[in-house]
Formats: sequence, C-alpha cells, structure tokens
Amino acid sequence: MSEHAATKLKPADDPAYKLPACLGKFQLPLLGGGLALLLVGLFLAFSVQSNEDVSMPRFGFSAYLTAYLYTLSICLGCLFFVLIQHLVRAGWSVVVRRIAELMMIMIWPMAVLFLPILFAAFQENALFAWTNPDYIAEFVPERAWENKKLFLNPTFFAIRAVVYFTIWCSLSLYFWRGSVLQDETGERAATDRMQLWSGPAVMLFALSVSFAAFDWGMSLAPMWFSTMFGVYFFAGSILAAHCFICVSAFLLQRCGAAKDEITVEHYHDLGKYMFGFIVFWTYIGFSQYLLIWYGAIPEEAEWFYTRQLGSFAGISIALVLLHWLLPFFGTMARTVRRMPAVMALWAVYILIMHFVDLFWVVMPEARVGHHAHVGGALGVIACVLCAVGLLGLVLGLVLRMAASSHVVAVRDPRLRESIAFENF
Amino acid sequence: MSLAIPNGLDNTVERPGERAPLVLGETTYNDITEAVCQVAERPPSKTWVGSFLVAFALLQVLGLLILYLIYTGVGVWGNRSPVFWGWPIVNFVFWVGIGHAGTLISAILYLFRQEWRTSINRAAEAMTIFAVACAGTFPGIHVGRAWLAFWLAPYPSLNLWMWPQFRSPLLWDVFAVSTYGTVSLLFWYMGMVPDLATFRDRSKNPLRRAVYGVLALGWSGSSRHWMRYEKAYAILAALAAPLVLSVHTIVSFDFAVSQVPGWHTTIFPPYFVAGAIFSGFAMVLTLMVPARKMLNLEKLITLRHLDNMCKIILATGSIVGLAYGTEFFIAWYGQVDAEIFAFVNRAFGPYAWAYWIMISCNVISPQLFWFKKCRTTPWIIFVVSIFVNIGMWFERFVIVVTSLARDYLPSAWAYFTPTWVDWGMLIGSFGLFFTLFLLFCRTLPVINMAEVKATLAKEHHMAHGHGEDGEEH
Repeated sequence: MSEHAATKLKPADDPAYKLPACLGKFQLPLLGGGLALLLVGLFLAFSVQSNEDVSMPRFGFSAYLTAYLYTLSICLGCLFFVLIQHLVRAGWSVVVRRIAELMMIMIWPMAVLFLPILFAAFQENALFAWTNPDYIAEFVPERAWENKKLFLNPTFFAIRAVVYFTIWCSLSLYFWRGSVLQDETGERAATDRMQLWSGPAVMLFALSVSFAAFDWGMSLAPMWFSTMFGVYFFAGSILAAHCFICVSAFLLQRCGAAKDEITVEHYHDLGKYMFGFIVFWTYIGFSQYLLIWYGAIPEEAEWFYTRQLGSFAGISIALVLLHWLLPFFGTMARTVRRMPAVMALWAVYILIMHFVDLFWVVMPEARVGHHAHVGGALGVIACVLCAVGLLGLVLGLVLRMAASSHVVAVRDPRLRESIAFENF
Repeated sequence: MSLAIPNGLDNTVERPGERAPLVLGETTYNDITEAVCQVAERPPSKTWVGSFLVAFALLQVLGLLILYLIYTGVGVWGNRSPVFWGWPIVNFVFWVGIGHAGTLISAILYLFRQEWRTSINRAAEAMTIFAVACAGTFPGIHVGRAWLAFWLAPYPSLNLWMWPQFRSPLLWDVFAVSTYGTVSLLFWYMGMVPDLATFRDRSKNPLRRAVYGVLALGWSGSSRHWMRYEKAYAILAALAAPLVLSVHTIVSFDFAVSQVPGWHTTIFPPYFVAGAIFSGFAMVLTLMVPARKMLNLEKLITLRHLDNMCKIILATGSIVGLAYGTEFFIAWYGQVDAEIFAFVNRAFGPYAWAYWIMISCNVISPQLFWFKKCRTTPWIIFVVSIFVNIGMWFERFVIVVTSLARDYLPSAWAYFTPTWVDWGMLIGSFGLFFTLFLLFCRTLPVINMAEVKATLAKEHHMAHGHGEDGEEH
C-alpha cells in the first residue's frame, strides 16, 4: 500500500516510545498499595474460618489462589498472545505487542508468588482437599485413591509446578529478550528466530497450561474431572489478555505515549478479538455445562450442583448474563469497537467479570460439607482485596520494567506495516 | 499459456517487514482470466474424462446399493447388536468433517484477512458442499425407512401427532447440517456471481451464454454492484463463521451427551471442530496438489499456499493429538472403571489396530510438516494428506465402534464386521464426491478470479511502496 511506505517512523529514542511520567509515577504507589491491600485481604480471608452451618478451613489460601490465578491468567494470556503473533507473522499487532510482552515477563515474579500455594500443598487441608485424610476417607473411594494419590501428592505436585514455571519462564524470557534486544539492534533475523521458535513454544504452552489448570483448578474438587477444563481456563486467560492490552494501550495514549502509532484500527481489531473470545469462553463453558448436565453422572454433576446452591447460584446466573450476554451485545457493533474510550471501559468490565469467573471456579471448594458459601460480605471483600492487591503489585512491577525499556517494539521490522494498518 | 511455469522466485520465504507475493510471475489481470477460464473452456483432457468415468461408475455403485438397501432393509449393513451405529454414522461424521475447510477458508480466514485464501477458497467451498451432500446421504438412509426420512423435519406429523424429540442432539444435527449446507451454498454461489459474469461474457455458444447469464444475475461490474457484493460477502462471512464451529460441535454432542464410556467427555466439541478442520484441509490438499498441476494453475496456487495449509494441518493435527492425550489422562485421573476400560480397550483391545492407524496417521504423520522441505514438496504433501484422510476416517470408526462393541454388559459384546454393502457405500460416496467435483471443474470458475485480481492489485501497490523504504536494518 502506498500509504504504508509513506508512514514515517519516529527515531527509536523518541519520547513517544517511553513510559510517560504520568503513568510512571504510579510505580511506587502500586507496589506499596498493592502489597498492603494484598496483606489486608489475606488477613481478612484467614479470619473467615467458619460460618454457622459450614466450616471453611481452606478459605484463606483459596482467596489467595483466586487472586493468583487471576493475575497469572492475564500473564499467560499475554504470553500466548505474543507467541501467536510471531507464529502467524502478524503485522497489525506490532504496536501493541510490547504491552503484552511486559505482562508476559511478569511470569517471573509470579513464580515467586507461587510459593504460598506450594507451601499450602504441603499442609494438611490448607488449600487442597486431597491433602486432607479425613476428606479422602469420607468422599473418595479407597480403590480410586490408591491410583489417584500417585498424581495428587505434594511432591509430584511440586515437581509439576517446577516444570510449568520452567517452561513459562524460559519462553517469556526468550521472547522478551528477543524483542527488547531488537529495540537496540533492529536486527531482522531476531524476528525470524522468534518466528521459528514460536511453533514449538505454542505446543509447550498448550500442554503445560492445560495441566496447570488441572492441578490448580480442577484438583480443588479431588473427585471431579472434565477434559475441557484446561481449555476453559485458557479461554478466560486469552480473553483477559486482550482486555488488558486494550486498557493499557488506552492509558498509555491518554498519557501521551504512542499517540500516532496506536490508532483506532488497533482498538477495532482488539475489540473484534475481545468479542470473539467472549464467544469462545461462552462456547467452552456452555459445552462443558451442557454435556455434564445432560449426562447427569453424579461424580461429574456434583461440581455444577455445588455451584447451583446457595450464594453461588446467583453467581452462576450472573456469569451467563454478565460475562456473556451483556458484553456480547455491548462489543458487537463496529461503531463501539472504534471508540477507544468505550472499548477500554468494556475491557475493564470484562476483566472484572473474569475475576468473578475464577472466584466461581475456586471459592466453592473452600468449604467442607455440601453447601458452598461465599463467606459472607467479609469473605467477598477479602477475595476482592487479595485480587486487586496482587494485580496492583504486579502492575507496579510492569511499570518498573516499562520504565527501563520502551512501550512499543520500536525497531520491529513490521512496525511500519502495523502503524499503517487499516480495517477494510 | 504464459502461466505454465513458475519463475524462480521462492514465495515461501518472507523477510520480516515485507510480504511475499501470492501470485507469481509477470502475471496480469488478463492472464488470471485466461488461466482460470481455460479450465472450463478447453475440451476435456483425457485425464479428466478418465477420472470422470471412474467416479461416475462409483456413483452408480452407491446408487444401486442405496436401492438395494431400501428394497431389503438396513440388515444389509454390518450394524448388529451391540454396534447399531456402524459405518453409516462413521461415514456421515467423516464427510461432514471434510465439509469444514471450505467455509473456514472463505469465512474465518476472510475475517482474519488472510489473503492467501483467495486462490483456494472457491474450490474448497465447492468441495464443502459436495462433502455435505455425501454426509447427508448417510443419515437419510440410516433411518431405515428412507421414504419417511422427512419425519426428521420439525413438524407435528400427521400420522403420529407427535413432534420430533427436541432434546435429542440428533435433531439438532438436522438443523445444524441443513443450515450449514444452505449457508455454504449461498456463500459459494454469491461469491461466484462476478466470475459467472466473466464466463457469460466469454461464452460463444448461445446456450452456455444463456445459462451463465441467468446464473450471473445481471452482474455488470458497476461500482454499485461491487459495493453491495462486498457488504453481502462480509455479512455472510460473519454469519458463516459460527456455523463452522456449530456443526461439528453438534455432531460431537451426538456422542458426548450420552453416558457411553469413551463418548461422554467434555472436550469433544472443540476437539471435533479441530479434527474437522484438520480433515477438511487434508482433503483440500488431496484435491489441490494434483489439480494445480493438471490444470496449469501453479502460479495462482503457489507453494506458499500449500505451505500455509500444511501449517494448519500441523496445528490442528497437534490439537487433535493433545485431545487424545487429555482424554486418556482424564480417564485414568477420574478413576471411573468403565472409562478406564473404554480407553485401554481402544488402545490395546480387539480394535487396537484401528486405534494405532488413527494415531500414526493423525498425530505422527503431520509432524513431518515441522520441516519446510516437507511443506513445500507437493508429493510429500499429497501422501501426508491421504494419510490424514485415512486417519480421520479411523478416528470416527474408533469412537463409534470401540465404545459400542464393549458396552456395560459383557454378554452383549461382539466384534463389528462390515459387510460388502458397507464397503461399497463408502467407496461409492467417493464416487459421488468426485463426480460432483469433476463436473464443477469443467463448468464453473475453479478459482475466484475477482478476488485474486484484487490481491494482485494490492501486491503491485506494495511492490511500488517498498522501493522507497529508506530505513536500514
């Protein structure tokens, strides 16, 4: 395209590519505030121990796990976003790819933040019901447990976690370094190399993420199983990643960075993907529900049954209406997708719903007994504080990383194409 | 024909920052028209006549066997207790799966702005419709009394005063497949209108001219026509995209809503969709690799197109492999005896041969496509695509037969053996498919000329644009 060649690139050290001061100044408040909120949240969560008719010994760590999976899912979604852009040699996304890269490299601190969960796995009944001999004796058939314990035991759990983080940390470091070094050298071959490795990387990613989802989400209900569960976690992650990119791009531009580079066309495309992944999440969630409901086999149906009772019944219905129906119609129109501020608002909204989704996956398993309970207002507040705190802490680290590099992949060979890109 | 030999340029290599061309050689708009129209306008070649006679003979086999079946009853098949869903359902799912590539290429790749789709979308869409026709045949005759197949339609039948069972996924299938067939047909036809007008304008025979004239709906190529065409195309693409997912999702529900071990597993919907795309692309390659050679279309369907399709085969093949693995793992993890038995029985029971054919063809053979050499050597692609077709047929065989042959009651267990009618109908369905496809090659534009020209126009612009790229890298 002729306009494509006419696009003038700014020099790599242009201030438009640097983290704007009005965002950078939030670094310390986010780090400090995030940590404080997380600690307060945890304190509250650990004080939610029991209720009149339900005992909830696992509430504290479950609240942390919800917050952890929430932040981690955004990081993993961003990692996948980067891998897939390289794999398909995408041109449109280059101007927003660095945002995803900044979040994906946060898998490193997330590996450290995993330690409390690892610790909990070694404690009796702190987080996972399968660490509780009483639970096993009462709810798990003896012969099944003979085999299941080969997989669900703290040592093997820890080994698997090490494997996942080794994969994710190596992948995120490789693609982060490739992109950041290219900022300095502008070497085209770097893009070729990343393209080459993105194929095997996607395979490793798929395998590790689905097993991580089995370990950290599905195994909370030790007898429950669903082959779709890994895909369900992935669907939420990739949706959250697109929302994160959209809202970050908007904030960057509001503060003056990448003003000429990220255009309405990129919001339009991000909007299409957000819409698409809302549908994908719904498709996966609905299929999983339909098949289990239709089969009505007790060991499978139990998981949904728990979520149809008490306070979780409302959340289940809310997910259908607010995680699917509302954003589905809300982000459908072309006009809406071409309004950056509106899309940023939708992105924030969907990120909130993504939290509700993970809350709905994790928290019902915090109880002992048949009726799941949200833990009252205190419980909900504690979970929200944990999630906001942990995310804030990680965002503080993102700003720290961003301050020492660029907010756009300044010398990516496809930058020009990305800036000139237009939707037909 | 100036398009016969590709020039030396390797368009499978793409320097980051530039885009490799999708049309090779010093090709002009007129070259494209000539290259595509000659396929239908020249007298049929000996290869075409030979292939057509074989395909048409096989089609007769199918027709006669259907008559035999209707006259005698479904007992002519190998479907016996406990395997009541035998080859007819296997063939149905196999053909529906193949019918997925066309609409994926035309709708989903269009929404993803994948311009390489323009050279292959027409033939792939045609293939889709023919595959759906093959698929539709099997449930239609599997109902036993084929003359009452219309009872599948949702109306309160006058004989029984009953509606069909709306809670059955078999009924949802009727809706899904017929909707898919209709939308695919519309999409295919609508996309063809500008090219049909080209055929009309070039026809010298008045009869041909009249027929193409009617089909072209008075297309004049005015900008108003183009504007409406583009709009309609985008809307149809957006409508067709979810259909690509829904059809095989519902086919997977046929199995997964039941409680049969090996069928009832939640990953079925996305795994079936990936498998369908996998088999669809394999069939596109099976047809295109020889066709581009025989019809002299190598400058329009380039190695880059083959390369891209091979990558999709590799990706979807690996997704299918991951799903096989996940199913196996969860069967063990769930510790439900019947599930564990179903999967161990698949891999090591009496049908182990079928299971390992499936694994080698579907999971192992596409791994060759990690190597660029394999993705750009037509004969290797052809061989792998045949393997994938075989593997995907066996996948459905493994799912349908292994679970039913070993149900909850060991006293009912039996080994399924197909009859000669089963064999004949499977082979005959290929006759139907190839007859339709060969007729399509001779009568309709096999490549979307209008879209390829648009791609060419874009590339010419790019080529000019990049001359001014002053940035050093």
